[in-house]
Amino acid sequence: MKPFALVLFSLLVCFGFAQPVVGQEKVEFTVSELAFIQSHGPWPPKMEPDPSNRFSGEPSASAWGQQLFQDVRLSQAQTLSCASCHDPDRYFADGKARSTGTSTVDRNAIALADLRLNRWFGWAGQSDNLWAQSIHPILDRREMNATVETIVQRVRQESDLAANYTAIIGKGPKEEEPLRLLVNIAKILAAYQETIRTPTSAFDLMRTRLLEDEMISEDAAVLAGLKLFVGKGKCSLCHFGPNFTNGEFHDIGLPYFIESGQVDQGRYGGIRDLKASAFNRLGEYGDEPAESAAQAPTAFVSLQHRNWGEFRVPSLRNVSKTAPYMHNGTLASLEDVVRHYSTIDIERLHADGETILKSLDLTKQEIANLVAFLKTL
Amino acid sequence: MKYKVALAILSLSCSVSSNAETSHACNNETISSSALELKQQDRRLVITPKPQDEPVGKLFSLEIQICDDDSVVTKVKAVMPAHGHGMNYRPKVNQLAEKSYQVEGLLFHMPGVWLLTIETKSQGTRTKFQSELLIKP
Repeated sequence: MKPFALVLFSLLVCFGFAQPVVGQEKVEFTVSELAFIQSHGPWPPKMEPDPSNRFSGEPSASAWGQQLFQDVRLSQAQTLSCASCHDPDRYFADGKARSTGTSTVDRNAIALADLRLNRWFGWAGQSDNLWAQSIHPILDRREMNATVETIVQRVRQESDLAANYTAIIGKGPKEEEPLRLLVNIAKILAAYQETIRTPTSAFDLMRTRLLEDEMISEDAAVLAGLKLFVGKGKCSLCHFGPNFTNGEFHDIGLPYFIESGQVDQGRYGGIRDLKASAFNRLGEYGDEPAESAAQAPTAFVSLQHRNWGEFRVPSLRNVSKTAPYMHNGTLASLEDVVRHYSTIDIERLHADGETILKSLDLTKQEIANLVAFLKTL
Repeated sequence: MKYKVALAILSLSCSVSSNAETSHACNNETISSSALELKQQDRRLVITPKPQDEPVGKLFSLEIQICDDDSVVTKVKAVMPAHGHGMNYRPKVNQLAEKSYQVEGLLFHMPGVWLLTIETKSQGTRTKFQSELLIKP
């Protein structure tokens, strides 16, 4: 850093900033806190089409994908669709701790939105693209429980599916190799899911006014919660950027066990599944040029012991509408989530893991403030 | 005080800063002004991140220019000492030409101070170059 810039930076940190709010209370933001606030926008960011999916951004594909998303014919028993667990009326989640397909699965149905911003998909990041992730629930025996053969047979035999397939894919389903047919259906589903976006939030409006030094009318509790989020709580380190996630994986002290004697490997298993998958971006089913695929994060991701029990940092946009929380849905409310971090048991974390998390020991008022802020996202 | 002014001043400072001496040396014609010079005794190298902006949460590469001898780059890694973790990615080192390397697959997934380590080898001698990089949000 140049000496000139360093001096200016030091001066600004020393002075800090005072932000007047409603009533007599004041919330002050340091330069560092303001820099984090700035990093949480603008919203929405530009979202480019997925290079691995030639149907990405195609309106006809996403329109058919929206129909397929709710089509029970993609399940073996024709009783479940993607929307069974990712319910559009529930912000594309299901409100359950652990979702139920043909039987109960191990994890919470993560809310679907702003998916083009993801580097990894699923709680363990077992997929590096959305169409590959869309194949998982179709074939998982505890979810939709279909087989490749079932999907191929239905797309070939059901006249509306065959007609749409031919029109959008540009090839009749009977001429298609089975696995490639399944991949194409998944790419159509992905083309739709990419269009699910969260709107401009109350936070986005507040951020703009704060950075432009305009008068703001937010509750003192919201501003105090924001200050905790970007300051003492250090929430912004992992819930970073406009989408409030750094897109990576962390162990936050939740139980390893799904049930007695059954461990959820988290990111460790996710990386192994990713590398073994024929559908990752390094494989033959993607549509991007080889030189682009070679730069996919899958080419560089490294399996480490500390990945055990790590799960993907979720976006916090719409967070107040997508309870329950965490990969296993064990925390029912935002208050529970904040209390978890406030009293986190650091002895439970990996000995070789990261040392970011400390119990915050928040007061009752601080917990309420943080929750008030989260509700603006 | 106006936030807009303050943030504009912040953005004037480079997105990657270091306690290592910034230099245009080694090869002025090919090394950009955002390059960092790393020294270890009488050896030095110059690194240039690409792209140079928005490094948090995005894959980027480093170009490394060996300046003074025939060392080869053997390893590149980065850790956050204050957090006790490294990167979630294993960078790949490719030699572009004599004394010139490209390192792909670096990703800083958090803002803060990262300790970058570049190891080189020359005639059986290993050298470790290190620099603290302040990655701003």
